[in-house]
Amino acid sequence: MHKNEVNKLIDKYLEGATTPEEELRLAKEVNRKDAPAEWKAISTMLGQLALDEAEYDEEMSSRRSRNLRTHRIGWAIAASIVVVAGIGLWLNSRQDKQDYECIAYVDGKTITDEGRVLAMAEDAVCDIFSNSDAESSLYKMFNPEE
Amino acid sequence: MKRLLTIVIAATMATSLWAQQGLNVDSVFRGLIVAKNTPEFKETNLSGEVVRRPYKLRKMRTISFLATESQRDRVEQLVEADYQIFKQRPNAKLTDADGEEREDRNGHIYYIIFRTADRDRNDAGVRKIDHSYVCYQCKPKAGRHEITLVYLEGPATFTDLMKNFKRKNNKTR
Repeated sequence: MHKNEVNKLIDKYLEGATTPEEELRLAKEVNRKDAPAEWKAISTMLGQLALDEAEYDEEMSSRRSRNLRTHRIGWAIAASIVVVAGIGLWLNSRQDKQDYECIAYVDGKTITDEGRVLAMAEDAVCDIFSNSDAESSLYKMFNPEE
Repeated sequence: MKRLLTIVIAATMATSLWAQQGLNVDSVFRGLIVAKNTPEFKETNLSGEVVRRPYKLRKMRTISFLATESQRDRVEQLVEADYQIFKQRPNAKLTDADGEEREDRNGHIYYIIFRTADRDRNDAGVRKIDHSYVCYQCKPKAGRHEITLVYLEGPATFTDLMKNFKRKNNKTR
């Protein structure tokens, strides 16, 4: 608040024409550390109650602004995490789509049915991996020199 | 029209960047030993989600065909060459991905599963390593040789492969 405004408010207070809100504003101003010495008298006149109330209001408004800032930072962090996770998922799915291939060629015919192609591939791979099973053990038993 | 289609398919497959390139068996996959238009030639190419979830693989490629004795010998030589490269890796540390299986019958490879070179992959800024495996099998069939050749690539270890494909096999039997 400008010094002149404060002075006008002081005059109004001395005339007994101030509202409770104006008295609170005045209390805040005259209670500042850098307030001129002549205002200190007004501070005494306003009484401790008005000053405490002004300090309380100031403290609450500063807390509200701190809380608001903390909330904003929290939301910003949460939003960043969501964005980063989203980009990661999108890149992953894009990579999967780019990499995707599922095709078979049998006697010059092309097969694209995923179930059939996968079954054909699995048959071929499982056939090899099952060699260490019983049949192979029997072969080794009857052909020990190999 | 059919011939044109065959040429287009062959050209597409020849230019597709399959990671077994660099291995000796690549020429078998490309149909240079036994032509792809041979009757009973089967080929499957799978990559991405379809093999990632069930098998922890990124790529799975299989071919199977009937081969004459000389063709069998040629394929076997190429498989053996890749296997020897794998065996002679300098400073190789035995890891869970290093398992191998091999069985020879009558002086020829009956089946073999072995790991080849690892491949670095950049996954959204994170460096990941894919193992790669070659599997080969040759069984006699109708006076010829039924050959199955498989290339697998992905983070799956040898133990994972044994567990998944043996289990799958038992399930389908």
